[in-house]
Amino acid sequence: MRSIPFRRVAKDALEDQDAQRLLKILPFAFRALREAALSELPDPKGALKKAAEIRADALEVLPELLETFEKNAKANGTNIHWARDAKEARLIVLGLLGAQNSKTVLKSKSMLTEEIGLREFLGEEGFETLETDLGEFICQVLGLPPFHIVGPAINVPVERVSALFLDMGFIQGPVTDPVALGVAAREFFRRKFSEAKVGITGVNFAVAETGSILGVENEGNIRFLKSVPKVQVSLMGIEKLVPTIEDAFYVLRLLPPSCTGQRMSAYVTIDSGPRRFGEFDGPEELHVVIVDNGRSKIYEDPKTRPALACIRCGACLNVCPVYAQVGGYPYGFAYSGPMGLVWTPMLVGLKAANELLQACSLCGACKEVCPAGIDHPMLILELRKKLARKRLLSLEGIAYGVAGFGLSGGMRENLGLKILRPFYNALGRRFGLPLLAPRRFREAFGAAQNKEKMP
Amino acid sequence: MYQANLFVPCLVDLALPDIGFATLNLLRRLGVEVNIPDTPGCCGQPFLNEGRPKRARALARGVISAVENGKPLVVPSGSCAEMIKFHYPTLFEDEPRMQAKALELAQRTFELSSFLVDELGIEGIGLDIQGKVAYRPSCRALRGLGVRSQPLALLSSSRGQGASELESAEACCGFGGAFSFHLPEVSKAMAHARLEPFLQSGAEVLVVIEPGCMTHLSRALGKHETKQVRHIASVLYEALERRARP
Ligand code: SF4
Repeated sequence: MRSIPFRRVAKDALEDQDAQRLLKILPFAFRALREAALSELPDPKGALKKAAEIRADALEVLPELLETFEKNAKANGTNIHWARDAKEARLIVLGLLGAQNSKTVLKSKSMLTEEIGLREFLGEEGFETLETDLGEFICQVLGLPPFHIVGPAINVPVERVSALFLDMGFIQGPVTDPVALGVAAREFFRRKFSEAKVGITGVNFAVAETGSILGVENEGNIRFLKSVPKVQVSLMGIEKLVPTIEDAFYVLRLLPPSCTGQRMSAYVTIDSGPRRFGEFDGPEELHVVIVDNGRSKIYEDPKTRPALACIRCGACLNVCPVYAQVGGYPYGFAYSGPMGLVWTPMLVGLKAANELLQACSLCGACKEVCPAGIDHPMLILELRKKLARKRLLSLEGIAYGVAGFGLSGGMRENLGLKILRPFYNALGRRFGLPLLAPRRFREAFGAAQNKEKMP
Repeated sequence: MYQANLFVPCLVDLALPDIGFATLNLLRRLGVEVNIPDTPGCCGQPFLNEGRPKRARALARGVISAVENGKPLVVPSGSCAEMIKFHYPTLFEDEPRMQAKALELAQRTFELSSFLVDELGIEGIGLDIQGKVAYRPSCRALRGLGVRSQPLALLSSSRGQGASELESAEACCGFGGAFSFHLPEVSKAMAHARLEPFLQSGAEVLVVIEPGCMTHLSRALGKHETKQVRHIASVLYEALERRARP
């Protein structure tokens, strides 16, 4: 992948009036809602800690959990597919679609499908993939990347959505009530639902003990996708596993508060196999595609493994001071904010994420809110270390080498500093760096002390 | 007499020597005998931040061996204090002997305001701080060391105009060392966003405990008629001086 141009896109975002107006409110609103929702729990800190422990413990035994899940899911009649990378995952889905001779596919919101570029791929293969999540749908029609991992089109002004829906014939006149717009879109999707043969969804949690998958949503589309089409294809990363349904519920209880500030999302669906004899709804075939796509490499290194605990709640985005300034586009990939900084480099390669990895001042706000207990700053330092090793001979590498050498000396004003000072200050003035004082503290102090000692 | 070591961070040493002298004189005035150990010129934080732990480790080694006298180590920078207290021990994970030393040093390392309040027990000494002051925590000291109330306590004045914390004071000012170099536009936008509540408030001085935040926010503020951003050492030292010679 080519390098993500964080700085350039960030500059555009800083100039974008609409985005800036929204960013002045959005993160704060999400944060306030989160805090209010969490404060209703008897022991919010303890709950966050417990959830993080559940995720960490699950990761420790991930290989076994995956095996158990496969065994139990198969026993339920679910088809399990393993995909080593994005390409394999896309081909598996393509194969499943090919068997259905239907060119229309309905899809729910799923960051993983974004990660593997599923919609674009299916489009190239002649399938029309329709996003059923309102935000994703707007992104799809407008050709926009996700602005926020939770609200992908949250930056699109309601007037623009209204004009769009008017164009598409969803509404008869301009509507600025977001709820009415949602209802209009829903009408449209409902008609599509009855025609679709295949529904594609993501997975929020997979339960090893029962072989079930859980989905969390507010619009009710996932529920439709899981009940009407004949075939359900659900994609999940290998990291989604937890041992028991209790574990899933425990972590689930913290997801909507961390995410949208809701006590609980409007819908939670659990699939433990396809439709059984005598049941009224549900797919005839349930396929779960378990995708690795770089995750086992993240898993192998104990230093990066904790990143896999992420439950995609978006809380870290809402407290990130960099995200709050530039929004999601500069992150250049499915994931944004602190979780993007941690995940994207490991998925697209460190060199491609060179600029992205600098997009953090290491303030640590993200770490404080993460229900999965992820220490983003530590992970970012680790990734920067891995990146630096690959770029030893860069200009930066040399600059740091020189600086390190200069600073390792003790108290004395060294000749090197004397020579370098004017050059550095010329540069510093240009780039807005802190300028060097004519005399360093250590020298001035040393001189003052010598004077004191003199008789 | 109470003795302590003073660590002078590279930014203070090279670019802001006044803060170094303010800290030194402040401590002396409060009756502390100050030793400035012959450490390397930097705690290593910028190198660790940029993914160069090897260089950071070399500097850490130098700092640790220069302050083996068992006396407290005072640091007029929240992030350097956090570096020494939290990252030094992790830097020596593979060297148990050095790690033990790092942990011992961590025990007696203090960010300046927390040294004054938590260690010396100075609190609400009733400084007459001129002009209304507002305070902004240091991200690293706040989240890594829990330093929040100490500066506020020190800044509370006898005339009842205590320091206030501004809206969104906890959000990063955008300095972040090399961050401000890599993404100057974003970094600047962050500083301006943080200054907004200060500009709207009645406060005249924005006090920080981080030399980096000070330079960064001062630059964003530019020349202002009534307002300035200052390091806590300078503010406290001047207030003490004023009290000494009315
Ligand atoms: S890293 Fe943590 S806070 Fe961020 S999205 Fe993942 S689980 Fe949520």
